Amino acid sequence: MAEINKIPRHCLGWLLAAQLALIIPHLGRLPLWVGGAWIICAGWRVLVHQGRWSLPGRWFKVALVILCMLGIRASYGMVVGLEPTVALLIASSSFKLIEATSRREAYLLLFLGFFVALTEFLFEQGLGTVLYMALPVLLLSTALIALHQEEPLRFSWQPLRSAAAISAQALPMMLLLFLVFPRFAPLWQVPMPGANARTGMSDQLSPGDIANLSQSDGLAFRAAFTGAVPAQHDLYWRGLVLDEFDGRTWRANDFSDMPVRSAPALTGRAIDYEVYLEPTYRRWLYALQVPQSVEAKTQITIDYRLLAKDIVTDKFFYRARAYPQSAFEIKIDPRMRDHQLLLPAAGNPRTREWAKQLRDRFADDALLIDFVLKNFRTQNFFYTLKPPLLGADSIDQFLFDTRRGFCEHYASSFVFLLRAAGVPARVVVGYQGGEVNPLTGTVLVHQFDAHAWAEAWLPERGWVRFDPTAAVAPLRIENGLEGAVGAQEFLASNTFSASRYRQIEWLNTLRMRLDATNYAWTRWVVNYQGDTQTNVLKGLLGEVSAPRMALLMVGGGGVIIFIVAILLWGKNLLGPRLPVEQRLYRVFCERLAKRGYVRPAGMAPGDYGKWVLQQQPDWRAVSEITACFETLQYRRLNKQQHHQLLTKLRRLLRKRF
Amino acid sequence: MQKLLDRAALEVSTVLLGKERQVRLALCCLISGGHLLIEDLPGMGKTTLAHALAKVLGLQYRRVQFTSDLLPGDILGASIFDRQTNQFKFLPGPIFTQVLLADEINRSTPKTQSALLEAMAEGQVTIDGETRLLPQPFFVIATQNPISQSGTYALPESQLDRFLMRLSLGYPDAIAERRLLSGEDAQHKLPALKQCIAPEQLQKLRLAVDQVHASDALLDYLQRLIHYTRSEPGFAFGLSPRGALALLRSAKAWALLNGRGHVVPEDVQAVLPAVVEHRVHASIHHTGSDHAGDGSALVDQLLRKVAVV
Repeated sequence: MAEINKIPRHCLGWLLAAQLALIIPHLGRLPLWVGGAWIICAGWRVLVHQGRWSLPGRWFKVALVILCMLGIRASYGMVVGLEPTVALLIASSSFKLIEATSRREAYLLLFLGFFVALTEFLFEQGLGTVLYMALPVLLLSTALIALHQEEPLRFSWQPLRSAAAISAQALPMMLLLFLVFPRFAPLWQVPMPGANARTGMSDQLSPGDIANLSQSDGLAFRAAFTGAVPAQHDLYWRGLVLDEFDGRTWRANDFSDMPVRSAPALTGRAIDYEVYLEPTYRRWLYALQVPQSVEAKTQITIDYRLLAKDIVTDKFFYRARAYPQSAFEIKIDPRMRDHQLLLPAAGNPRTREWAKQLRDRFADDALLIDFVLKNFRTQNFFYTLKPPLLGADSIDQFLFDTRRGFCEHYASSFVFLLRAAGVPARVVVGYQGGEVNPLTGTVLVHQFDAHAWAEAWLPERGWVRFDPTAAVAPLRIENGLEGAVGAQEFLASNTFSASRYRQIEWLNTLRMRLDATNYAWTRWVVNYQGDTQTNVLKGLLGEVSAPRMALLMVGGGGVIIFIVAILLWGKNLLGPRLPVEQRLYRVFCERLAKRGYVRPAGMAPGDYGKWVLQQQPDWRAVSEITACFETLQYRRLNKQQHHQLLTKLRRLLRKRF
Repeated sequence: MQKLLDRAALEVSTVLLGKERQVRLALCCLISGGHLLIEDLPGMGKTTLAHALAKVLGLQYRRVQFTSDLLPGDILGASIFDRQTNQFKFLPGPIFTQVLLADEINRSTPKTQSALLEAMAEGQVTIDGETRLLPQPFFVIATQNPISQSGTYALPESQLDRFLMRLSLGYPDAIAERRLLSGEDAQHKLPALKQCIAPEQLQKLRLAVDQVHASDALLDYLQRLIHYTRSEPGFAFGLSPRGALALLRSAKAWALLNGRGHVVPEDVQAVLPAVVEHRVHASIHHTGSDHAGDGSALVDQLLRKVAVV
């Protein structure tokens, strides 16, 4: 094979580094064997280059490909889909390593690398990810440059420096394109990453679900209020209403996602806020009560929740308005009301019995509820993340025996009790509270803020929120989970979570600072599309029209390219910058030339001075200036002397000429 | 140091009237450790200058008259069989001296001329496969007649390049001529010349030349000059790096001669004709034919066109 077509050794080195950097962020999602395959292939390739091994034969490669397909099938259960495709991409670029010998194949590997870099953003779009991804892209560019170079004798950083310079020059263009390039709807549907591995709220509630969720310090969403942030105990972010119970698990009914028939009359003070929701792979959104939809992409359901038009697979931004003082569904459909009274046919006899007693004692629903809540407060109920396991009649066991539970236990048994007593009630899950970042004024809601509470329907008042947890552990509602369960239990299985060390002030400030950055990133970069983009462009252009957009793109691009070109070639165009003394001497020569004594280019300063003095013997300054310049120019001087003489030369020039 | 050199120049000038500048340049050449080529018509005092310089420096001096039948062995020496000892005995030639005056060097054949090459470049000669060191310091002062004279062989460029300077003396001016005519014959004064510089002082002078400071601005000027010779179409070929070094070294020596510890452009310009003229040629296509091959017009151009600052 011609020498020219071989892959240079140093290019291969950079390529391997780039591939490693590319694979690292994918590792968490890839099956282990893909990473292993890369390590083996890379090692093999290195051995080939050292001349110890040879490249594999054709049948071996065919076998590898078949094995790879089978492996992906085995790991994911399917071959089509986002994650299997990414795994296939990475596995094939690994295998290509032990096949590629020509320059053409090196190109293929590099471009494949850029493509793999792109796939990372299908999963993550955070600031950290973007910053990190600059590294593999830089390394890939380095390898691309190295591919076009002679093999250096010794290792050199030069290709990396070139790549960095080229990337830096491309950066302004990238920013311009980011600013103006239209965000098209995807031309093809990218299959969503699997939602199963995600932490987040699910559409059913069994004992222990929320306790599990509360071990996670992942961010659920950020909320930014237009006015003041409401008090902690008012921040009930409703997510899902669960009203079907099978004795153990609460589920949403089948028609709960139906849109509300007629918009209710909402009264009282309105609260406006914006939410930046992390991907949930669900449709439901989190909203304060009573929500009003202010955007076309959201709608209100029959049970007064906010719902997105599509499944939320990316960071999702929405605006909403809440009327906390407003009542809703005062007039309830009798069928709906009956539905909220349904209980399993059997089970939990003790609770049913107690409910009956209560019903006999209190004719009024509100009084009954008050009594139950007081009961929670005064009897020995404990709020804990580690409740004892419950058997078949879980509600009975909880209410009368263990009396230790997390919010889902309280909400579940409370609703059961009310239903048994004939009060329409349902479980609501969502998040409660949140942490206010003092730097941005936004509310951070984490997974550990997950909560379950209850709603009961009262005549004339509609659905009213009751939180039995608040009766048992008021601190949970006022101060969040940590205040309620104590530092020991809080995020106990998440030792390295930054949220766990909130007491350490500098760490907390750092965490808040980081969050503020992430918020700005989400708000201005990830969310820069659609309306936001249009608004920014309107601010820039006055109106968004095709000619103006074209002008901005071409004009802006032209200006950027011109500036970069000037920076690159400007030095050559203007010539090297002269030292100060030479510039001063030129001024001197020009002034003498105006008086008729032009210095020929080849005349040395000393000769020139003498020549001028011969004709104008009383211009003594000429000899002084000449001597000064000659000393500056040709003598060995230290810095101080140089500085003094320069000052003298300036003074002489100013005073005498 | 400067006084020492001034005295030497004055002493030589007593025998070579009206040629102070050439005398100083010759001194400059010698203290920068280079060889000197003096070119002029017969009877202009070339030999006198060479002889006087050797005397003033107090160096051992030999003279070889180059003729067309001179052979390398005549200069370098030869091994001769000694009957008494039954061995070959090396009889050193006139080159084993400190100052060698190669008179009318271009009258000999190129073969003989090139015998000087190794000696001039490396300070050693190889005879019969044995390398023998020449005494230190070793100077060659060569004289030659202008090429247009009949019976001459032009020195090859390689050899010309080994001479640091080439001087031509020219006719004396009227006053000097009169003094010459009215005074004593210079040849008689020669033996009476006093030694002005001792060998160890010469050594010190050479070290002092190395110490002279050439600033960046000066080196810039020097490089502009060199670049000009290499890029202008009027030059058949540019100045070699050896030529550039020669120019810098001579300029340093000239600065020392003028009592300065640093080089100024005037120093470069002063030595430029002597150092550069014999190293450059006008290219055939760009001359008006009348002074083809003469470097003086080119040097003049260099001095005028290349910006000093």
